[in-house]
Amino acid sequence: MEVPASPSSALRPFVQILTIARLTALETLRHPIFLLLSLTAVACILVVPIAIAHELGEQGRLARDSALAFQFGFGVLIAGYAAGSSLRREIETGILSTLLSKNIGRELFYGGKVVGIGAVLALYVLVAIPAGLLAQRVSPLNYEVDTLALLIAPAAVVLALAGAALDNFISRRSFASSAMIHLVITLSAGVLILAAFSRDSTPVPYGQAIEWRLIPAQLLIAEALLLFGTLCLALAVRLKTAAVLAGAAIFFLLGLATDYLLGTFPLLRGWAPHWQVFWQSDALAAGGHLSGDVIEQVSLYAIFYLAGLIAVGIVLFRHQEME
Amino acid sequence: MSNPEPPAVITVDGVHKIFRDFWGRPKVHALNGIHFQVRQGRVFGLLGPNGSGKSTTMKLLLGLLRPSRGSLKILNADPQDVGVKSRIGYMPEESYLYPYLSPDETLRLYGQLLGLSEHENRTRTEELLEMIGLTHARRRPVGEFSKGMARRISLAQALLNDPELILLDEPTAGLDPLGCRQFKDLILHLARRGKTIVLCSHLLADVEDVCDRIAILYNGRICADGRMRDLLQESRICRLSIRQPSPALIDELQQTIRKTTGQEAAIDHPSRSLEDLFLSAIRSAEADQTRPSGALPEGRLAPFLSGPPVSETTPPAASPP
Ligand SMILES: Nc1ncnc2c1ncn2[C@@H]1O[C@H](COP(=O)(O)OP(=O)(O)O)[C@@H](O)[C@H]1O
Ligand SMILES: [Mg+2]
Repeated sequence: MEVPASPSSALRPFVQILTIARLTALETLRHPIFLLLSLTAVACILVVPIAIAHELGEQGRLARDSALAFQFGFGVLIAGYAAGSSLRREIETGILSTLLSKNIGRELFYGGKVVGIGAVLALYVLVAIPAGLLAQRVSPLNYEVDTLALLIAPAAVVLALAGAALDNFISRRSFASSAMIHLVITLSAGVLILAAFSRDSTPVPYGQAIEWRLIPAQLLIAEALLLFGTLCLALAVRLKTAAVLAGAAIFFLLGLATDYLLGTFPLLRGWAPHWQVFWQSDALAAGGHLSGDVIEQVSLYAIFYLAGLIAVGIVLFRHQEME
Repeated sequence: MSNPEPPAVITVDGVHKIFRDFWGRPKVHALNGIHFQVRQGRVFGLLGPNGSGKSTTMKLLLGLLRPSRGSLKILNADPQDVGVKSRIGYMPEESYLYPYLSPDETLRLYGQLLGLSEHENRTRTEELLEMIGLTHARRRPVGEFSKGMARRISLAQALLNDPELILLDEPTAGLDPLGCRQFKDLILHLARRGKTIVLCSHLLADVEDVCDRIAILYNGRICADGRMRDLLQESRICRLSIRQPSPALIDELQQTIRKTTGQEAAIDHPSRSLEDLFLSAIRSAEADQTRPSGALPEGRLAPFLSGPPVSETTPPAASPP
């Protein structure tokens, strides 16, 4: 009979969006593959600069570039997986039929999915950022190793996993999602501790010993990941997960080649995202900082693109049949 | 027969459904112009072999698919109308659930989507978990559940908003006989409270026990429909039952019948159905059992579903269409 309206029915759409977002995020986070990809990303960010430090010239740059590149690379896999599994697979298994048989509009539903995937990516970025900062310290500079950093970085990872295992044992919370939260805490704590000590383990004025200027560049990569996730979600309305990743890869390559294509097909320039604008490692070379103007412009660009991709996704999703 | 007809809750008028492939080419002609109506308070059974278009019809009614031709009305609204869904409950054929959520979380999430208040959501979730016998498994991820247990959650989900129209797609698939029995009792109870129920199945026994009207679908067409009683009754044959008759009495009856009608009467012993046997065996075993890890056979009706009958004036199967 009559459904008791929740106290504030004006807030109803927001409650619905948040419910779907929460559902999407919880399911993705509890799936072990998400933790696996994030852990691999952290391992690559931390280990690769150590392994090849003696090969190339500017060592700080190597750790920076690899941190940004791995953050992006694994982020792309996570975005593609999250979008594919949370939309395409749900259409195929029929779970969306159940959800959409409730009184929620398809636009709100899609919006909730975008927010949910955004939340998942945000958590991943919160892991990748401190990992990138730690990598700056872990990689040897002028053949000198930072003993304290070499102790703290792996300890942070081990502690996080142990904490999650304990959490799972005591409160039966999902190991995978708990490990992600613990990773954010322990890796950040590692950065905060190292901020007080120089490379030879002597105390310095707090904060000096960390290359904070990497963070804006990492945040721009995060924006690119969010765009990528939304792109994958729009593709996932019609395509299977493998095809989503393939389609997104084509789009991505197109985006990288925009400058080259500019002369030949001016139209394409407007359609493919300029992924290069999100890659600002060059600005950090030789102790440089990212200018506020660049950050602002790139972010505006990302917002417009995001709005466009969400709109396309909603139009596709509205007409999609739940087979 | 002078009863006024209850209003139609579902009207399906000349509906065709053609499934198309990625490029828009026709692939399967799943429905070929079906017509039917379901009136308020009825338990309507949609019968048919696998692939005859039952699930497709359900999804069209919910606006999950769009008809290729023809029109559908549900609770006086278009199936695409989002608002009307708050008065409908749907239990899909595949009870696929989010595998990493617990039953508790699953039902609460659906409750939030439906716009139940926090308090309402909590009590209804409790009551439904109790009703489907899964209170003890409420914190386990449903990915670990057996098919029948997932089915029960799917049923609970469909009843959360105490809907006035309930669509059930193969509801008893995967349920144990006890679950089936409880399920059929639940349907009859809901029907008594004036709910309209549409049930599709290829399990004839289920339909026979609860439905008052049926339509038989074959290959996307309706090939029979009407009142169950009319369709099934062999009105020219009459059966007489007597408890522990003496052989002499039988003999005498036989002779009388032979003399007056010239026919030979058939004599046999009715047997208990396997379902009855199974249920009585379980009930007697229940007494000395520890708690099983699966679904419990308690199944007390959720209090929020057990209000008084809603429309006394329109009992199920009151009059022909
Ligand atoms: N998404 C789909 N794409 C193509 N064909 C479909 C789809 N869904 C159902 N069909 C076809 O439509 C017909 C009816 O299916 P359905 O309604 O599921 O039958 P059932 O009566 O068993 O529920 C079947 O031939 C089936 O193969
Ligand atoms: Mg079916």
